Amino acid sequence: MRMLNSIRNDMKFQQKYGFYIVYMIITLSYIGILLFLPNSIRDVVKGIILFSDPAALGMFFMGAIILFEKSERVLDSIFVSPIKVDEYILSKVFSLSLISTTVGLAVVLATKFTTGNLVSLIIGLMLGSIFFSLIGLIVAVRVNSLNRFMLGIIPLGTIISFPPFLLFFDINNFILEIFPSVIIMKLILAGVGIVEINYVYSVVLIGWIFIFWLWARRNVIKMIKSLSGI
Amino acid sequence: MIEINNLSFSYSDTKSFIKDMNFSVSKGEIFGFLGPSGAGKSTLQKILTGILTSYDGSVKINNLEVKHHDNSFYEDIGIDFEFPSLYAKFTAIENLNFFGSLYTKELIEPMMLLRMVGLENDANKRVSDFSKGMKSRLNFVKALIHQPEILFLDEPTSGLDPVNARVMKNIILDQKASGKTIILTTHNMHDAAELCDRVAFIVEGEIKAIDTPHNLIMSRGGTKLKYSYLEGTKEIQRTTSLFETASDPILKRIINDNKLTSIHSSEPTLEDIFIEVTGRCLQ
Repeated sequence: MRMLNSIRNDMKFQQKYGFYIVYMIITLSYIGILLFLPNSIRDVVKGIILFSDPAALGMFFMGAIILFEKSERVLDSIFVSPIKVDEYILSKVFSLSLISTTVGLAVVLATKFTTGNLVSLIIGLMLGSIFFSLIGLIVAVRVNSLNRFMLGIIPLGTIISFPPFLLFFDINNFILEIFPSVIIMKLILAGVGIVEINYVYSVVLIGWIFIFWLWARRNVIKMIKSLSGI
Repeated sequence: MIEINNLSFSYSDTKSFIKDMNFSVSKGEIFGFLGPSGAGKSTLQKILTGILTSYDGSVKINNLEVKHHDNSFYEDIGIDFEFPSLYAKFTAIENLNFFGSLYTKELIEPMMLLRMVGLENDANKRVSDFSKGMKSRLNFVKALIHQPEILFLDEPTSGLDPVNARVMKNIILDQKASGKTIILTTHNMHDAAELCDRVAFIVEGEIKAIDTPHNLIMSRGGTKLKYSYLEGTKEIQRTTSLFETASDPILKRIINDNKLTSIHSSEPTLEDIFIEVTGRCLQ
């Protein structure tokens, strides 16, 4: 029950702080861009847009949420309540992944979904959003300003987001195959019918999410101890 | 209710920040932490509230060693932070509902809490539109929503006008009357003297004195009697302890000679005693 309340609270926070309006504008922009593109490149661009949506939005929105919570000192109160660190992380990443997946599906369905694999698309959007919002969390809990967040997220985000684009130049090897963002890209590309996907890689992605979860957890615990609070 | 034995804590390997503290707080007691900034009050409260667990010695709340607490520990802890800890874009009622939803205990009805501090007409106003005093009052009742057994209050009357400060102090006394244990951290000596059953003077991570405000004042000689009298054309001022007025030969003589020009008693404040005991100012 507390977990559900926590997710509901996070969604309410995202709505109150204008995140959903931003999501809506972004969705409409994506749909508009895709509808104007010729059919020959539409699916590839769609795949890239759907990949960048959880990647960019997950990271930056998570950063914004944490920085808002820090500036309003609400973390002081949250972490002296019965909520557990894992519940706190879960409600944040789940609420963001829910909206991110909805946006992704809306984009796909509004721009002529024909041959893709919907299951692969949903898994890609959902796990992709969870993975990238964990990265946002890992950086945001360690900093107190937007500038410092950007200084941390840009290099880390670039290193993690860049490798999938090598796929478009026919560069591939075992390391790339098990790289988390490459798996996310492949799941999404399979979702729009460009490649075939081996679902074993989603298990590898879940393994990556577990590792990044532990990293985020460690950073959140460090942050709790350093809160100025009382 | 709260038992602290040989508590030491350090942020680094080299220097202890909290040094060998020992005290206990009974159920239904209001216990005050008094000390200047950087004295260790916040660190001590972070230990008591289970945020810092790498301490030496023993800290028990309801017989539970705090470093071994699980999250249900917080069902019975309420904290009013010195600075508001509220979502600015949420209304007052939304904030109370949000924080209340983190607990499994039966909650106090949010509107009732708002009425207690005179915010019932601002229930649907965003916190960003609240004044500093309104935020303080909302922050305070937020700590009460889950009916905690132990309340940690940090400067609860700071930034409030006298009327609202009185309202808050009455609520604190009502909480005590209903059996709640209250840890109060304040620089306000009047509040401490009025509200606290006992206070601890904390300086440089050590407890320098611990007793009731009354005993602390009395232990330093208590009330003084100040008087002045004429010696020829010169006015002379003297001070004596109230308990020694009968044995003060000069006072006796000038009363007999009708030479008193003024006489009044003056009681030292808790702040005077703090400065005398610790050699430090509170601010």
